[in-house]
Amino acid sequence: MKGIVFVKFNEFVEETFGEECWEEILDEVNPDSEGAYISVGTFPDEELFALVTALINKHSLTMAEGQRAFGQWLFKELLNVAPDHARHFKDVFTFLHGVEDVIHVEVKKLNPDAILPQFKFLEESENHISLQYISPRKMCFFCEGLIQGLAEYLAEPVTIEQPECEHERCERCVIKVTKI
Amino acid sequence: MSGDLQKRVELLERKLAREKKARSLAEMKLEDYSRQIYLSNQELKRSLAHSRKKQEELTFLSQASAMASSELSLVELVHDSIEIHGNFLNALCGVNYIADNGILVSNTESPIWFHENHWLSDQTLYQLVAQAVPFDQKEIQDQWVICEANIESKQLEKKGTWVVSINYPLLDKKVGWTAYLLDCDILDEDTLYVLDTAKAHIRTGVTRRLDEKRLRQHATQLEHTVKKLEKAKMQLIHAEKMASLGRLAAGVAHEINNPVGFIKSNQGILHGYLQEFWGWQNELTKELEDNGKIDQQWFLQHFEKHDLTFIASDAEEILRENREGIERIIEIVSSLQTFSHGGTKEYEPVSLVDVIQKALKIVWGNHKYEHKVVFDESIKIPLILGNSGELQQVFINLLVNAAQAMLQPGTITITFDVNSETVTTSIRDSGIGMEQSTLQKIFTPFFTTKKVGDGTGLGLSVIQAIIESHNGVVTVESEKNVGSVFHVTIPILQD
Repeated sequence: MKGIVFVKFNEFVEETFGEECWEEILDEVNPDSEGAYISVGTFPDEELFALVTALINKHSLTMAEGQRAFGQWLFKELLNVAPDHARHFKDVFTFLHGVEDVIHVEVKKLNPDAILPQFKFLEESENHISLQYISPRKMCFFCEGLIQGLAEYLAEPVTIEQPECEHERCERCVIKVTKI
Repeated sequence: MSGDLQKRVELLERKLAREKKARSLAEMKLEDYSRQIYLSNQELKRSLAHSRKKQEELTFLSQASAMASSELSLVELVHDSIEIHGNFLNALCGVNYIADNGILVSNTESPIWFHENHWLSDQTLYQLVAQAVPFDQKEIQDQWVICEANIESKQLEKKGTWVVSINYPLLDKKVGWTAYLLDCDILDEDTLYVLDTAKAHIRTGVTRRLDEKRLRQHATQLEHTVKKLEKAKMQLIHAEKMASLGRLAAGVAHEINNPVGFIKSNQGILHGYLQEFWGWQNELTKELEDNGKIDQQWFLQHFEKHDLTFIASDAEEILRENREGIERIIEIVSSLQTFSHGGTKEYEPVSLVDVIQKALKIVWGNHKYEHKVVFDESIKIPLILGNSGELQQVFINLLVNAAQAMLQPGTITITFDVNSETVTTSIRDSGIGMEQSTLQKIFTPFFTTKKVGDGTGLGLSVIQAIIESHNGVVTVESEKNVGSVFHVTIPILQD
């Protein structure tokens, strides 16, 4: 996984749970990288999962809650590093439609080998949108968190739910976003 | 130091250690990126140079191809070809030579191409480069000829190290050569490959222009031949006309002799009548001298004695006959004049009825006692555009043929068939007719069924030529022992 995710996870933990918490997690996980993460590097996926697992165990969170919280926090951080033209969107639905054509294109420019999720739009009305989340990493809750962060950034309140989830023994993950 | 502070320091130390490691990692990464960027740049530069070269090659090839298919003359093609080859090769100079049977024949003062398309004469350089061109190779070369050289000249910025040359075919087995002097160390294989491709374009261009030149020469020759043939045809038509005139001479002479004969004999009679008249006048004069008067009875008695009543009326009859005789002679002579008039090609509105009448006058002297002619001279048919002399020749020939085809006394029927565009004159005889095999050959020049000396064998082919020049057609139908009919169809004169 790209180093920026680790760097941002580090910042997230330190900001949310304090510097000591990050130290404790590192001590517990004892990763090969020794926690020296750089945004332009690439580190094993397992390290992140181990760090996340250590965090949720430490604070009695579920995996879903941990991923959501990180995703929600991460959105504005990622937006800060995105190029200007990638920031011009007016609502949540438009942004979701533009993710693959705008955001992922920018990611690929910097990291041609990045593994990015795909969205398959299933149905859409004025107030709700249903999309299938397709990724070998199966980080659908993290994706939920990112959407939540997006909605907060736009001050557009939404509810996010997963009528189908691979973690709930479904065949696919479907994320439904409803405007409130 | 309190426990908390100690803990805090340790935490920060660990963090610092991680940050140092991260920084070192980042720097390594940066170096790695720099190296990759450098390598990518190098690769990019190579690719760019390669694409520029390919672009130049493509531009050169498309110029060569466009030039070959352009409307440039051969001289312009060679000139422009040297310019684009010289520029593409970045040559020091480019020279065009012409060799005849392996020997250089072009002028040593011919201009040489230099950089930036300057053309200058330099006899020394012309001959120096020529030494590296294999003029003795008379065949058209499959590949460019490459020859090492060591040529220096005040016109050249650098020493020339290679001469590449190629030849192309010219008219009269001459060969053109273009040679380029280069200053590079080694010749690039890709460039030679591109030159080979361009060679085909330029040769195609040269060949096309030579073919066009040959074609133009052939066309001029052909035009000349057509003119000569046209002249020969006119002469032939005239000769045939004179020949048929010769054959008709006896009949024509007879036609003229006949009226001349009776005019002459009438002249004798008239002379006798004049003698009678003078005799009567003498007697009248004497009576007046003797008696001073003329008695009525005496007058009538002497008038009757000289038969002057009869003489007066007969003389008038004789004069009328003579006048007719003279008219007939005038008509025949006039017909002969239109017929024998030289081959001018002037077309004017012509009445076919008039033409046939005149033709009959010439021909009929020979045949009028043997055959009958059915021809309605009063018929009105549209005029055609034609040459009366030539058309008269056509109908004289057809009428003579018709008469000759009738070994027994027979009938020649002349009819017209008119439609909105053409008039067809048909001349039908009741003669011996023709076999199918003869029919197929009658329009062939020199084909004749007549005895040697009776015909030239050109009559019908001349008829065909004349009618075709009137945009018409001549056809024939024939049945053995029944007769033949010739149809002459000519467009009518439109208003």
